[in-house]
Amino acid sequence: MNVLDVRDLSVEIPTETGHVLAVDGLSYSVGESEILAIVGESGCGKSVGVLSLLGLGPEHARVTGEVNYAGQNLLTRKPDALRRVRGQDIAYIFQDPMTALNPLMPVGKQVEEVLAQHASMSRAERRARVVELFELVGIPAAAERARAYPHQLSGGMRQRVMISMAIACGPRVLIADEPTTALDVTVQAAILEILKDLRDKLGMAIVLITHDMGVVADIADRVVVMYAGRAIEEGGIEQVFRRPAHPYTRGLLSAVPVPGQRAARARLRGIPGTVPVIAESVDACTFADRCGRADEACRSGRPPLAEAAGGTRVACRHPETKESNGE
Amino acid sequence: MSEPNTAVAGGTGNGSADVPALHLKNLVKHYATRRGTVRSVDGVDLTIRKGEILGLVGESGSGKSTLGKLAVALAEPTSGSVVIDGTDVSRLSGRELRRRRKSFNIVFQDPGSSLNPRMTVGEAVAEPLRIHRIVERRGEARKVAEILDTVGLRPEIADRYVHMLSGGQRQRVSLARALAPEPTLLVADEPTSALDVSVQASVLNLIADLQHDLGFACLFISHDLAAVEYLADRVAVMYLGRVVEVADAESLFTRPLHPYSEILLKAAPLPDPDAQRTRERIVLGGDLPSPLNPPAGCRFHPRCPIAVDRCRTEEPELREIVRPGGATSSFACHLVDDQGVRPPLIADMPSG
Repeated sequence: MNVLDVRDLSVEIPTETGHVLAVDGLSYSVGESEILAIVGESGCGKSVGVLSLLGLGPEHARVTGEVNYAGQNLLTRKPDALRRVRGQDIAYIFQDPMTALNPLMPVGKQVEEVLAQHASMSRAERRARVVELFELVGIPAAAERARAYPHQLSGGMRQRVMISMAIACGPRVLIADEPTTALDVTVQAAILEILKDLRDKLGMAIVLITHDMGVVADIADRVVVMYAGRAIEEGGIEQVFRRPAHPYTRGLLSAVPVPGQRAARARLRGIPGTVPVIAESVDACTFADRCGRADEACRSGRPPLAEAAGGTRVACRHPETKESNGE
Repeated sequence: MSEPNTAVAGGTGNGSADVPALHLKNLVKHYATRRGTVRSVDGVDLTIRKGEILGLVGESGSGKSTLGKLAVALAEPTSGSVVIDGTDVSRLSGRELRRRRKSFNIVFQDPGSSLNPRMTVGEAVAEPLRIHRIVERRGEARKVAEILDTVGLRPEIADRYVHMLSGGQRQRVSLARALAPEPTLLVADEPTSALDVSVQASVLNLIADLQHDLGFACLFISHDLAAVEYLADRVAVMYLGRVVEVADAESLFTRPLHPYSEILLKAAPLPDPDAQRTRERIVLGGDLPSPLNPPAGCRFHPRCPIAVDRCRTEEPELREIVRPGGATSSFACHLVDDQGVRPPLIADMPSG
């Protein structure tokens, strides 16, 4: 069953030099206990897209479409109602826990504040719950660490605090926006294990925003690939990695070096050109200018997401059909 | 490998082929802070041969960036020496050092902050040519166009300001600037980390091509193990201010000897779901200890799954062995024997 269902989401941001269409008709859904990765390069709209779900997007942004959660469209809800949904039902964690934590307050107290907002508990109960939460996210010496200030903790410990804060009220959806990007690989590995473990224990749905195909391969069940504000390919993890149908998805995968690549004398392939900034929705494929396969059909009409031979859904007039292995 | 000690006094440089491009000898860099001494680089011996790319990997706080700055004399070592092409550059006077700067250079992670925003690309690339008096003014524009061409930029771009360029183009400009005086040593400190993956690929290819065509030696510092494996001939692994392993890239990535090297390699996620989900996991316990007060004995022992008593008291030195196939590996671990065998890490670890 889908917990969160996003339909035709568009986000238009006014800037000094005209407006930018950051998200352009994006649809996806995530089910209970499912980890959905939204992957793409900077500027593709992946972060703005999830922030706008609960009114956390850029100021004055125009958000249209539907965000269906528990039988209601969140985009039509008032700020007060959204505040209750945030934290209680849908929680966020971000890339940089240092900027999300209050530097002048012990971390345990900050988690207690969240509990005080959303749950009716006594102070002692809240304290006990904080220790429980810290243990759940693998913070050693939990009671002691609860009294520490953010600067006294490592980046990995701070991210664990953020996760404990996010799950404090038992949300059904956790939105994790590049949660491991600022962390070292060994710490990243530990945080990804924690997220998987929480999914298994609590049955949370997780929407993970990342640019890292390795992270996607590690943790996700399904993946949405975004380009210039649109979903250009979507599917199960096996299908997207094994038989990516969109030339951009293939480009992303072949741009990352893989073990043994140098020994095989295979060169990395970048994607020529740069990501366009879109002012208004164009009736064409936005990748056409960087694509070797583009023709008239691609430039006249937006390609819809449609089933591809490899089992993914792809927005491309000329999808690839071969397996990506052995290229 | 010859000891360049004798060449230090002479300092003429560019001697025979077996003088390394860079030789760091017992290099130490301590920073005094209010809370004590940060032992950022704490006794490193490392050699880069001419025309070789040495990858330097390690996590934040390992001292790899400090090492990069020391290697191009942007920081003064507390002790030890930095010998570039036979000359100890850490002992040179200001004027002599400026003269020698022609032969070594560094590029950083964020070209947006290391390039002057008030200069055009042409001016930025011409600046090192002027400082080192490489061409006369008349020939400057042509030389700039030529250098831009080697880094894959069109000559028209010379009139643009840096802020008008994309991240990938900016990194090409900083490479153009760094390579304009034709250095024999280039330090690249996380040169692709701020770039999108599709752009990273083209910058990695560019560094490989430039190195192949121009033949400079390169210290490639990165936390991105895949990039290092792609580019480097040899790889050094740093942990808490010390080098714990040095080996040719293939040996290091297929059979790392130091436990930390193995854990680091296994932590980097592979962009392949089958391989990633079936591989062994070793989750590293605890936090990186403070470089203010590194652990006694082997610095990795508090987090090492196979540490024994000796590791807690006796700091292991770098030892060199010859691997099957003839390549040499150096490592600082008591538990690796002279055949390159050590106990497995997994045995008594709960797998993740």
